[in-house]
Amino acid sequence: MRLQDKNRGNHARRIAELGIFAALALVLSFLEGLLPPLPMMPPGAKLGLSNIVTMFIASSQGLFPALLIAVLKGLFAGVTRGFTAMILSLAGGMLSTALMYLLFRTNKFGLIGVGVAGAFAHNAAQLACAYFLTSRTMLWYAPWLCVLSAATGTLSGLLLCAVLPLIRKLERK
Amino acid sequence: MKKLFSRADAVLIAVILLAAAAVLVFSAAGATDGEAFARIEKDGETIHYFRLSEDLSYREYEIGGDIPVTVAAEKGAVWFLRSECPDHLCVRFGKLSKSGDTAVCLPARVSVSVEGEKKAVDAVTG
Amino acid sequence: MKAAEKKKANRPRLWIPVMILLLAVMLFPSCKAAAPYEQTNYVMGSVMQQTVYGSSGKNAAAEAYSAAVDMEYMISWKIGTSEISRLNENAGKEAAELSPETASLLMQALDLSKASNGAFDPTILPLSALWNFDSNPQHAPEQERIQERLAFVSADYLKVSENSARLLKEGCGIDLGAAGKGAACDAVIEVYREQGVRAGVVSVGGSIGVFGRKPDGSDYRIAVRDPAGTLSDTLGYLTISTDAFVSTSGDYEKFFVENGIKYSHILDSKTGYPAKGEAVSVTVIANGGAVSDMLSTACYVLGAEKSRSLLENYGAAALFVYPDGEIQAVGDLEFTLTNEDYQVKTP
Repeated sequence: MRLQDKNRGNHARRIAELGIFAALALVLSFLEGLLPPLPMMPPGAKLGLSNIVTMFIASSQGLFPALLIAVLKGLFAGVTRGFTAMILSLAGGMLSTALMYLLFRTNKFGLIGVGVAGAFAHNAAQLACAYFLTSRTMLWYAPWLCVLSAATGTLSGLLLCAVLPLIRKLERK
Repeated sequence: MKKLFSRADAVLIAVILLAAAAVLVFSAAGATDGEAFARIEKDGETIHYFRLSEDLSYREYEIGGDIPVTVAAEKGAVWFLRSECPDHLCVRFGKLSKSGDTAVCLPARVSVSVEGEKKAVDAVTG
Repeated sequence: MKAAEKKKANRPRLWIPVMILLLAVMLFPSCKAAAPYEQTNYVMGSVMQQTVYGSSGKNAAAEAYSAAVDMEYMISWKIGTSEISRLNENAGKEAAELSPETASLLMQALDLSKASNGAFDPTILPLSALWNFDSNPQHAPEQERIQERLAFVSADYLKVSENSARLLKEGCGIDLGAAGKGAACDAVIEVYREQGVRAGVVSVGGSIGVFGRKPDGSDYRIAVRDPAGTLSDTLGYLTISTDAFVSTSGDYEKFFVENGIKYSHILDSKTGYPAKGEAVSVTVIANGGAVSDMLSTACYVLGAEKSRSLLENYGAAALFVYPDGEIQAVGDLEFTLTNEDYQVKTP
């Protein structure tokens, strides 16, 4: 009985949390959209700050809540930036979320490795979409995107590591 | 909860960076011959291709479609001037002038790129 | 306690991701595709152009240029201090000591002279000096003078060993003009090899040396000049994947007209007069620079049919261009025609 109760209480709390984190992801991706485009990068290549949120959810709450946030992000992009942006965001977000979840499951990778893999998957999916939507010129970016992924993924990992203790504190309250 | 960095991470990052380096080395040295050319593509097909000379007078290319865009060119540079797309990322790319520079308006499916002239021959005999 | 330990163990590792971050950031500006190094110089009275791929390109190009200049100073009969000049001065007297490079070049010249039955002849100097195609104004020499000089032109008068050579008759002389630019290409490619460049193309005048494979994986394209056109007109291009040498000889390169007769600079060592080639230009692909240069002269003099076995002996191939616009390939080569005024003759 107690166990069930606890689960039920957690369930409501988790949904509330998920809502907060989804909102956080949307705010982060919106803020990111305000930054100037990165030099030498294709459109849509970003720091991937909102990836931090999906990354955290993927590690703490599992695959489906994280995917939910990725889909929400994609729909948000669709509403604010149009259909192609939605396709790009959905493809990148879902692939990277799934990959990050899998890497967490292996327990072999640290936050930085997962972050890099997530950023890489995000960029790769977006590049692939852009390739089909336009032309081959996009492939020129591939190696730069790899380097970008390594940098932004590491950044995400470091940030999440810095923020985690704070989230813990909040949760304990 | 989680460790920050593991050996597997190092391997992963190394693989990604090495892959990037390999592609770069392989694709390096696409011999170009000084002069730059602008290519404007719509749906993957070239609709304008012109020499980006330094004495190019200002001109605008209206590109219609569901989402109309305007590309401008002048004095060795080409850029997205206006776009009806929602995010205007393309316009924020700014002026493109170096070989390899590319800006894309994904919603309009229009790309603008600067290419170096591919060297037609490596040497001449006779 | 356990958590604290873990934290401790984690802390020193922090510098690794930070380093990676820094490294990735620093990588960005250096991510420009490496362009080939190009250099243009002047040597042997011709423009020398180099395109060198690889990080050591600049050094290799500078080294290669000085190797080409050294070659000119060793083998030009017009330079009084050259080894060939010393050999010529000592004609009929004694053997002249030679550097291994010059001796080897002379050896190749002697071999090719014999193989081509004198169509290429390194002992042509008495005639070429008489005709002097570099003089101004130019006149055709009197027939008697030509006959006199002919007696001194024969590869039989040249003896070469590993470090010396000897001209048996006073009045004989060596002119390696038909081999020099190709030999310079040989020297340049040797430098590329030593310096470990990835790939490179050199042209000295119309002689070309190609080393290694182009980094982007594409084949080299060597354009062949249109003998009837301006300097920038071409017939088409030869496709070469790796290591090869190309040279062209033609009557359009250097000639003068006197009393309505055109005299071109490629002399026939048998008659003492400009060779009456069937072709207007012959382009040869071979595995050596000097060899391709000498072969192009020999093939021009011989004509396509008589050249066949000579080319075969040297594992070479040639492109003959005729005045009527026909182009004939002899041997194995890949030529793409781009000039509408010409057509490729099918065998």
